[in-house]
Amino acid sequence: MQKADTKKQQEISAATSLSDKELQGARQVINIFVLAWKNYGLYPEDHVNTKRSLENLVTAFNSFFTDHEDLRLIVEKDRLLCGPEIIYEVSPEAPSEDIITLLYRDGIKWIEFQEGLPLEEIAAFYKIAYKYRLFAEETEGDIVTALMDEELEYIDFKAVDIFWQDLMIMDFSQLPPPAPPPEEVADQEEKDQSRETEEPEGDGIVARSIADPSIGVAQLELSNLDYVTLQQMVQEEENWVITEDLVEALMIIIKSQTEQEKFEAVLGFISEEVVETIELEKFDLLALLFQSLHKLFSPKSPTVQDWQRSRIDRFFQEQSKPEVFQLICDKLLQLEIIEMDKLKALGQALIYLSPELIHFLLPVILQSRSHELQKMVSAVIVHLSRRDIGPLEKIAKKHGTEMGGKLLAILNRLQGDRVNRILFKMCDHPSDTVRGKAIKELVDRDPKYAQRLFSLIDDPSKEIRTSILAAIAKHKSGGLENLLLNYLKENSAQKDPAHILACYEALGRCGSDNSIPFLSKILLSRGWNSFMGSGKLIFREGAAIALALLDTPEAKDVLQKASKSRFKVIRKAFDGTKRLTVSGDNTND
Amino acid sequence: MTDAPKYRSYSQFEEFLHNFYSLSQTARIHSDNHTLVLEGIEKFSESINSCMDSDSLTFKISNDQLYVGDEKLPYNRTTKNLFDNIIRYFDARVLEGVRLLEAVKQVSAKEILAFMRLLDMSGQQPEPLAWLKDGLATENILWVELIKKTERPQDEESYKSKAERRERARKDYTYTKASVEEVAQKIKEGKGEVGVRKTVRVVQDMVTNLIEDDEVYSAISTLRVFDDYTYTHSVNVAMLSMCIGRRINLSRRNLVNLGMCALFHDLGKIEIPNEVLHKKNKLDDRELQMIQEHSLNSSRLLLKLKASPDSKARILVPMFEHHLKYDLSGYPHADWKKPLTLFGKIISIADKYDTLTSSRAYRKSLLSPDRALGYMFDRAGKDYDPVLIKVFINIMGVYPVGTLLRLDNGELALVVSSPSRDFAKRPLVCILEKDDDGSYIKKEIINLDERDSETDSYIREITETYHPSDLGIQPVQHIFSG
Ligand SMILES: [Fe+2]
Ligand SMILES: [Fe+2]
Repeated sequence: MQKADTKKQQEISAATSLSDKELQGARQVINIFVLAWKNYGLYPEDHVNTKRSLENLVTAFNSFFTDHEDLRLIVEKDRLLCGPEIIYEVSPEAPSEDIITLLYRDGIKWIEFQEGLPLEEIAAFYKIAYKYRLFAEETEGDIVTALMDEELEYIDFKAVDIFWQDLMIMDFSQLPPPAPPPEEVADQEEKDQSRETEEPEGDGIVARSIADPSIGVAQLELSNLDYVTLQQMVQEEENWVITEDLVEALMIIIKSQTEQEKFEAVLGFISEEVVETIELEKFDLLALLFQSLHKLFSPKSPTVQDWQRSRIDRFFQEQSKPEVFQLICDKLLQLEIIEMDKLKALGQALIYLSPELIHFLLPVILQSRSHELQKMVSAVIVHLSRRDIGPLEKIAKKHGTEMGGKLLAILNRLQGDRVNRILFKMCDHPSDTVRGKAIKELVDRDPKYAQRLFSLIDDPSKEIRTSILAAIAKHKSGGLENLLLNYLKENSAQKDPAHILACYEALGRCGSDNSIPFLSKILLSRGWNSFMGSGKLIFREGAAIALALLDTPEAKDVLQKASKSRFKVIRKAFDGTKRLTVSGDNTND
Repeated sequence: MTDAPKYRSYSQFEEFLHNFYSLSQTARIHSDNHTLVLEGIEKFSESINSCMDSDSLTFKISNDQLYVGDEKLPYNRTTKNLFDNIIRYFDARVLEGVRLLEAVKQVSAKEILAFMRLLDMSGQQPEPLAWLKDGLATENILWVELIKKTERPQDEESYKSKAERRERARKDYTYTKASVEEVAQKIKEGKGEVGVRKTVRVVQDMVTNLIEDDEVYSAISTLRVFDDYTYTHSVNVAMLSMCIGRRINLSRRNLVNLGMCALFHDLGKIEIPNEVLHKKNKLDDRELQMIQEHSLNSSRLLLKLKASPDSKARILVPMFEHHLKYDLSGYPHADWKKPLTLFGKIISIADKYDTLTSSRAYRKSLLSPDRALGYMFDRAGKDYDPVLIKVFINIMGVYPVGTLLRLDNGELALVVSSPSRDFAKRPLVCILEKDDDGSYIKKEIINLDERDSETDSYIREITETYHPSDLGIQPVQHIFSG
């Protein structure tokens, strides 16, 4: 058996003599410990293999603790000792990856695993070691600082000052003078000047001693109330939600930066903070940060310089990185179990980002089952698209098909030619419902659009035909009147009679007296049946209805004639108009 | 990050030790009739009764383990601090343990308190055990047996002696100062993000040590180096701030944050040219503005440190606030309407105390430490948080360690320990004597509380107080020697 023979080890061995059984147990545990570490690096934290190897390790520790006390191991370069015995040696193949190497590197002198060690603590330990496994010069900490911070209950350790080995400890007997030599002191008249604290310091001050009899002990003693106050102060500090104060301080700091480089440094921190807040789901902080920055550097603010403003604009652009967006959307989908406050705060933050975010947000709407979430995301998309419709255009072009109704719901809340253009495209959507809605929305926006969509009158889908006719029927329009007249003149014979009837009805609603010659001919003509197939009762009926809907004196004249016609078929067509008054005119609302 | 630690509650033996230690601490600070003292005695008596099942109750340290009766108490997260404290407490008194005899159940509260006070004071004596034995005999306390500490080889895990604790504080001071200087230097060079691992490590270490013994840190913060003001000041302010934080029971993690914040509170000064910083004559408006912007700039430079955003966030606001007063006057003159944060209040107190008691180029004589405290006390509620000022005075004592005294017999004395109980105006001092070459030599240590056995009047009285720098004296030179 190998023995370490340093003086220190001898001391330790004197204190703890180890049985072979204990050593063997320790060896077993450590082998599993090292193996678990290797697995930890190979698989993600939540991978089944990682979990299994950690569980194995806990089992190994537990069985060790049933027979032995806490396991304290001395960390040396490339090896681990239990008492005086070497129980593990770092493999020369990949020494830098070995956990023992890392512990040694960061100055851990011994590490002790205590009875009761739970899986969570081992996981926390590995997590820390993994985070700091690579050596970095400029870093916030290392394994030791992180372990100290974590305060693990069952893992104790001792570290040495690895950073200071060459530093001479201050020798207090050799200290330089505490005060300047007398001749260096400023003249009397300058003594009272203000410095850091804007008040006289030192020479100018006359102060009574705290030991002065005028100050009673009772004044200095902490009362019970004071203790309560202190406890509250500490409690507040420990539970301090830094959000608002931090943002406010940051705003004061950044506002006072008149040099670009310093301004930049503050923004740099804010950018880091952005990612952090998203990761930790501190969306209220994020919203406050964005709002405050936006407000502080808004064009309305007179003290802001142009370069500052354009830098802030760029800042918001820079936040709009795919990584950030992806992170946001991942978080959004996790938020499914809705925390309304968080959701609301996030919504308030997102509107400051680039409209490019829409590319990431739309899929969220599709994937999420939460109505609230969909509502929030839609509102953000609308907001962003008002700034720039470009991304939405692109998405509509590429994914209009999948997006369908959801996209339409968003488009409906936006205005402008480019939006309308997307809506026109939506009129070619595979879903008839989507197309129908798009048609309605477009014609609602501008009745003229009905002319552009007129060709849909022959659409194979009845739903669409109905939609376009309803759209046409909405307003009086000479253009549509002409289109319809031509359509009826050219197509009536081949078309479905019900459709033709609907066309007449639409003509009645959008047309004018200009249609009367045509309608009167259809309604009243006799003898030459070939005219536009007008011999069919249904066309006469259509014309009569159209005339009734026109409801002008001239139209009424024609209807009058029809009612008094000696031909039964014409009078019957006139009778069809009575249907209108009975059922009520409710199509033109 | 794991959830907050779940501490289990104390067992009855642990409770007993806890009550013992609490009473020793409360009694040190408060007078006999203070509610906390009376409550403390009651609790201690109760736990004696519940733990004593034979004719005596022994509690002692053996092999760094604590025993009550025959029971070895578990050393774990719940008990760690308490046990460390008790081990240190006993060690400073050369005690291995104490045996309470059954008679203790019949004694009055007054007698228990007398014992606790004697035990406590023995820690300040050159021969603690002999002194304590004498004291017990004088007071006729017969229900206590003292178990003397047996000499054993000290391994590094065992308790640290006073000298060792001083040594550790000296190391901490050196490392802390070096790491602040290094960080400041790197920031000056504009090297992008600057790591703070070294600083965090030494501050963490300091927190561990400070929890064991804060007096040595308030003592070491009397260090003044005129030519090295910026960094010694930073370290002093950090140590004093952490002492306050420790007294008000901040968590470990927050003590580290507080230390980091205080250490870098004046970081913004690195952007001020030395000519302005050390200018002897009156500053012009631009120069004054530069000075006044430094707290804001500290906060900005903090952003360059490579630390977790959460720590930075916690540190940033108090840094920014350190020249704002309790009533929110002071600077920066920004629209800051919130009450100061706890860290901000603590650091402003530590900062002001160190500034008031440090020599600067533009200032000649200094306030003696007791006057500096008086000055600050008179501004409590306006410039400083009134409760925290009291805490600070409690820590420092009315004659803080490092105060130079003139005694009525003409001797010059330096305060080396200032008992804060009842704000006793009779500290422990060392007599300083002028050497042939003009420097001062440390002579014997004297308790100013000593009375003449015949007349019962005090042997020495304080006639005047000075700042040691006024006589070119460096307190730590004397406090940390011998
Ligand atoms: Fe300052
Ligand atoms: Fe300062």
